[in-house]
Amino acid sequence: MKEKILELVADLGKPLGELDSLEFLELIRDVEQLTGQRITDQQIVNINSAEELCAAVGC
Amino acid sequence: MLTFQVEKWSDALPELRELFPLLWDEVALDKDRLVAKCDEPLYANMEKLNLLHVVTARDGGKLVGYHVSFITPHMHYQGAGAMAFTDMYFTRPEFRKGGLGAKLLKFLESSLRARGVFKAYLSHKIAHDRGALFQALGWKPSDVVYSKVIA
Repeated sequence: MKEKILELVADLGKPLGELDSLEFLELIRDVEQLTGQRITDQQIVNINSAEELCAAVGC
Repeated sequence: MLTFQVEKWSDALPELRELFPLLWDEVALDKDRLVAKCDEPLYANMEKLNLLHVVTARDGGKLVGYHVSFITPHMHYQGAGAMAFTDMYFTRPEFRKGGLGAKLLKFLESSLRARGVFKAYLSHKIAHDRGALFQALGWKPSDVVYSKVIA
């Protein structure tokens, strides 16, 4: 699963830290759909990297 | 590292003062008739009355964004509970990446909910349309506000 999430980030063509807000939210939604897990608001505000995004969904 | 928190107006004020001119430069209207000057005594009184809600974004401790709202009952809905009316918000342009705006608004919503606020109002300037972001976060467009200098 982690590889798939990292692929989603890589497909955006720039690091997570360079995404604008709409791109960031779209990525969050894509990861939620991929994993079937909801990422909470508290988690979202603490996601600053692809690794932290993976950790938010437990991988 | 980015952090989001609720702060007292008076605690954040020294750093807020640095950002006010940037906000006004970017979005203020009628600049030929209105001189930007924050009424700090009035804000201080509102803080004493617990009518302010200040959310800040900090990067390594440095203030990089904020949202200020007024918390009051809505006079049309007696008993409905407190409502939040956006006063102003700003993020430093060089930090507008990594979803900063989305995170600030997510944190704002959570913090207002924790404060017991029932409904919140948020707006943007026509010339600085944030509608797509607001709607992506679940906010519904509800009003169009007009203004006119009449003096």
